[in-house]
Amino acid sequence: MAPLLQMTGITKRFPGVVACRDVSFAVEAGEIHGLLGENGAGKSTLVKILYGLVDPDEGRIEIDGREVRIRSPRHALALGVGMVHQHFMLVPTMTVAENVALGLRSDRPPLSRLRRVAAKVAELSQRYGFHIDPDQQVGELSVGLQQRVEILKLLCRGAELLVLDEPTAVLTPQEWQQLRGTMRSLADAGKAIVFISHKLDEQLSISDRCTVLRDGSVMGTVATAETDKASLARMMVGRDVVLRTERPPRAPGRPVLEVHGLHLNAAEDRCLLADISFTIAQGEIVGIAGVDGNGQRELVEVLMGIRTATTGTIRHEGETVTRLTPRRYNRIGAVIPEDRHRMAIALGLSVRENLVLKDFCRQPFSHRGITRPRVFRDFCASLLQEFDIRTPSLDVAMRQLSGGNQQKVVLAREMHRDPGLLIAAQPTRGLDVGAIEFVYRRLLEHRERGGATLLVSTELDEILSLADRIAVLVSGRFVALLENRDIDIQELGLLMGGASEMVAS
Amino acid sequence: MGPFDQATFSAAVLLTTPLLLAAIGELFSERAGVLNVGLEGMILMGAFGAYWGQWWTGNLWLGMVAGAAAGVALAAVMALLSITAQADQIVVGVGLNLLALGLTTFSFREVFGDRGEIVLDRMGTVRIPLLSRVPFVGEVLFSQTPATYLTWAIVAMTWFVLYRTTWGLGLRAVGELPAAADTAGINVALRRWQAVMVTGALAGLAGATLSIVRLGLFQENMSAGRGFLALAAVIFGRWKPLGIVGACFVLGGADALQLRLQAEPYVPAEVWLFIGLLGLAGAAWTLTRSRRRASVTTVGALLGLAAIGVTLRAMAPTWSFPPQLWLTLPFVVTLVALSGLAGSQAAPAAIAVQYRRERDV
Repeated sequence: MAPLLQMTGITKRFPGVVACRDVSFAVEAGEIHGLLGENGAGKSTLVKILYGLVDPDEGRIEIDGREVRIRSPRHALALGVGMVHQHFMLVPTMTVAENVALGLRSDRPPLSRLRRVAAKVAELSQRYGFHIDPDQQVGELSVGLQQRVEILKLLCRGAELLVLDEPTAVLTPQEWQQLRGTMRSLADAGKAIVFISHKLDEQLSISDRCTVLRDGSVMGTVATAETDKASLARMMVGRDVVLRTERPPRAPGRPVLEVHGLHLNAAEDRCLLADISFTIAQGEIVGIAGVDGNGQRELVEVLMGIRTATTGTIRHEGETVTRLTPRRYNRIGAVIPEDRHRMAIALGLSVRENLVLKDFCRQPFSHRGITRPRVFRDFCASLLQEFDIRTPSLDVAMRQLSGGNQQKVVLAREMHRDPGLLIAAQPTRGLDVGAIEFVYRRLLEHRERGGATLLVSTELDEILSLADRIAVLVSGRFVALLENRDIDIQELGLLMGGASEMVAS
Repeated sequence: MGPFDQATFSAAVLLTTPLLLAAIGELFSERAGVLNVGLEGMILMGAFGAYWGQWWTGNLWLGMVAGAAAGVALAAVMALLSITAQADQIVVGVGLNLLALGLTTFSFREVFGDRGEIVLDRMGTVRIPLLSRVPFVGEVLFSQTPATYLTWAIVAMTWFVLYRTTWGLGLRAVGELPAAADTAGINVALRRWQAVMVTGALAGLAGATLSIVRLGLFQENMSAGRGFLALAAVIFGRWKPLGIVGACFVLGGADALQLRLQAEPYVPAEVWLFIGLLGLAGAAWTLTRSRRRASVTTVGALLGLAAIGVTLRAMAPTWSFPPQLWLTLPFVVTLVALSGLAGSQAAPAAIAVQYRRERDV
């Protein structure tokens, strides 16, 4: 029997790059097929081809043994190929049934017949154990449930092959467990699933087979039962990767940052942060774990001086600095903001300009308001080397760099001054394994030199391997503040999910 | 009852009709994510188009059709520039208002300049059997022109179309998250075009009710800010058909009241009582709506207003205001209503946001 999906010899060239080079792989019905690769390895191009958003230059696509040319997302769905996007395509102000009805052909146009759709949603939800109420507003659902609504949308439209594009990036570990269950029950019902993720553990735990891409080419398709993490990583990166970090024990020095009783209220009495207290000492990394949107962003913004706390005190090396401004914060520390594009770099400016963004007003970069290009040049050249930033030249616009290199520019700008205090919010978000390794190394070097670090991350592995102490932030409160010894990822996940247990450090 | 009699209420319903037509029309655009600031211009085009159409054909209903067509013509320019060419919606809308003013003034002078004032046949009122005999309500609601009844039918149809048809569902999705609509197979640009066309037609009809239904006349710039009042009514009505009906009646009522008050020699005592009751009602509403956060200043100010109203009612001073001041009443009501709604979250999420499908790789 022919496989459900067969892609053969797919090649796609863009000006200057070959995104996919002679890519072939096949997906069987009832199979969970992993697609693994670093950022820029060609995963997303391949998926866009499959979804009719990009036309391949060469190659054949066969569905159920018949050759097809997929013209648009709509056509893809008609052929039974459905896609769950990384950013959900759901209207938050509408109900589940309305969202599902949006893409369906009504059985009696022009009426939308929402009752019918709701009944169908309820039935499918029952069959796959989704626990979705068709009349609930999508905006009120948790991210994990919204993801199920996305899957329901596709099932209602008769999708046989589901493509899940980085579905775990937004989930808690518990939600990931539930998604695993969902995927498995779909596969058991005969659906084929293409599961895209650059996280090795996830691929190993759910995929039946896994196709690894590197630089646009297929490195091989392996049965996941017969492989392990190290060999998958080697296939993906092309060399051995060390992510297990060595964190030599060291006695923390004197406190650098002391936060006491911090509260932050938004308008209407809505509490964003409540009673946050912690200290960071020299040579210590304090990790803040938690699901996105539980106050991490607000905490970082208060500490870097963008917002002012409602009550509470912040002390830096013994001096009270509660009313910080970004300018004053720059004198005492460095920051890697969570939203790189909005708060860390100017995409339209050149690499050079981004590198000196925080220093150009100072001696020796400028003198009496006149900048000194030669100093800029030497300074930037040394940073490129030290931080291994790959760019064609200093004058290219920042937007032309890959995500990893953009982040290295931020890292270089913030860390070249050897700051005593570093706030790193989601420093590896969207980066591939090689770049992550680099960021980890720099963070640990900073620790070695006696710097204090606040690491905010939703990646539990990251927190567990880097932090000396871990605080768990849920709905703007610390539910726990723990020494990073003998904590396992399950326990942390439960705390993040709201199981509150105040443990003194 | 002083100025609050049946005549004022009848006038309120009459004056509400064009506002309601325009606001309901605007609702289509805004729910599809197009902030159509050119509404004022579309009303004016409709007013002139209808007048010209009726004069040319000699038929009032054909005049209405011509009015709608004139609104659609301007709406097509709006859609072409703001949706197809992706120009800034607000800039285009403001430009179209100016264009409509110039175009109608010029055309009116060209066609009718040397003919003197031609008064066309107006639309007569039609009393609905039985219902119109209900005391007070019958006179106010069911002794109106067919244009008013048509407006109510359009409001009811709007609700049905937006909430019970696939077209309406898609329209709302386009205004909230165009990318989601796009992936669901809805042509975002086409749906927005359709929505703006509907807006143009209804705004054109609104203009027709101003010129041929009510007066049988066209006057330069006769829309006189009603498009902006309708825009405010959409916000005030929280982008929902029923809310907009309420908002339009408040604004139309204010308009009817000011017309009536212009004719009074001095401010009638009932007006002071009305202000007092308004203050009391406002205070009660504030307290029930947000018990916990009701600010002392807000409630205090409202109660103060009530006290002033009651005091003036008792004193019954013989003050008179120039009529120009009364003319501003609907706009003052709009300002007060909108300032009370600052920061409201009910707006369609993608309003005034261009949609461009991402094809980056």
